[in-house]
Amino acid sequence: MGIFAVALGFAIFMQVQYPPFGKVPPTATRAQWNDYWWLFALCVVLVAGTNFLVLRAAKRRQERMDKTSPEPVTDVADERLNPLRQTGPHAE
Amino acid sequence: MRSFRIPTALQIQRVPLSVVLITLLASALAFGWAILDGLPLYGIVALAIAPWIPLFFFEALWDYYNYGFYALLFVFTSLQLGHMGEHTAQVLQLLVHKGDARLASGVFGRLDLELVHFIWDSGVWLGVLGCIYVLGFRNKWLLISLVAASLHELEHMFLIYLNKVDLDFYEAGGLAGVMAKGGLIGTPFSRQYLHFVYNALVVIPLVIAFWDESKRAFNVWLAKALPELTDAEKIAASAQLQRVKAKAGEAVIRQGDVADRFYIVSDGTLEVVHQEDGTERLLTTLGPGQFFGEIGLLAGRTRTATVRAKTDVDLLALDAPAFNDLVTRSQGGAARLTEEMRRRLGETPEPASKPAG
Repeated sequence: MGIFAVALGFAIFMQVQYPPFGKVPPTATRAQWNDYWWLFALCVVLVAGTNFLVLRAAKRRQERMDKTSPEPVTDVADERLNPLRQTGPHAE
Repeated sequence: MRSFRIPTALQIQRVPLSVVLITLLASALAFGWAILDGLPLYGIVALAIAPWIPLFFFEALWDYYNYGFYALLFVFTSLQLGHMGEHTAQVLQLLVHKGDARLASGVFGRLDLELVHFIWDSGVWLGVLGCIYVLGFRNKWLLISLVAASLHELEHMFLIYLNKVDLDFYEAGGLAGVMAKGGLIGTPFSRQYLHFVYNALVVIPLVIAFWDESKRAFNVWLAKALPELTDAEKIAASAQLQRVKAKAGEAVIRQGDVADRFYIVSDGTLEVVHQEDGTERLLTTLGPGQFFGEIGLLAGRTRTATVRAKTDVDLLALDAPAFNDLVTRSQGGAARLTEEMRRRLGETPEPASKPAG
């Protein structure tokens, strides 16, 4: 997180020392901005909703995999996993 | 003190070192020529990067074939690091030009469009979600990255709407978006610096997550050949694997030779033949995910059969000490290999006078 502290510190330094200038100065009023709270709310719903759906799917997938994940080395496991398995008695 | 070691999955494996050095030379020459020729910044950077693209592509493709999803995480992280580089370049330009935004559009300034930002950052957000879906919740750094990517995505969803639907408002200050100075909610950060911080918040945890995954990645062919190994054993053995290629018709091991390596097939097919009295008998054919060469090492004997490439093949080899180490450490792996050796010896005729080994 030290790297992030450096990045944040650099951004703060730049904002204080060299605030960007040169493009058209903003003229939008607060009243105009207030017309877009609905858009902000919609974006929040879209992002949070998508996150929720994907994270829930990820959780279910993980639970599914946990149920079928590495079984101990047993004869049953070997029979299932080893395509070359010999079913008869093994010669020494 | 712990020694620093680059995880095996992160090392360059597909491309030979000589090609890396040639690429480095080509990149340096292109970079120098572009500067001498007075090309704009984007031309200089593009020419310096261009020679690396094929190398990156082949390495990533090989990684995908051998490490699966990890390779996609590698490409994703690399692209996002490049994106972070672009934002860093913009902030450095602001530093050099003392805040004059007209002279600070990053390296590829022509792409500094709201639509490009939206598409890219949506890709980043969905990409992080995809990583979490595949890898699960074991990597907490991905979740931190997701929080930052979600905030960033929210910002760009808001901005793209203003840019496409209410351009007058966008140009009158709407481009500040939600959190930049003068925006809907606002912070002390101007847009350029805010988005630099957003990207740092996404990229730094992503790189840490990628590093962690690099240490967990193991070769998928090893895992297919010896599924009984634990993840820790697969990771340790993957670090010892050596890549071996053979042309069609070439013998990889010869009957009667000293056993010095264990092989796993990752691409192509091979035939196993037993030679006796000048005649050859085909015992079996081997394909991706199967192994050979274990009998000589386990039983301490010479090769009992010849294994010849039917097509051009890619193999992964463990030398004798690494193989012995694996067998000693892994109960499951040893049981599987011994079982297979016994089965195969049942198929391979024993020589009359002495062990085939």
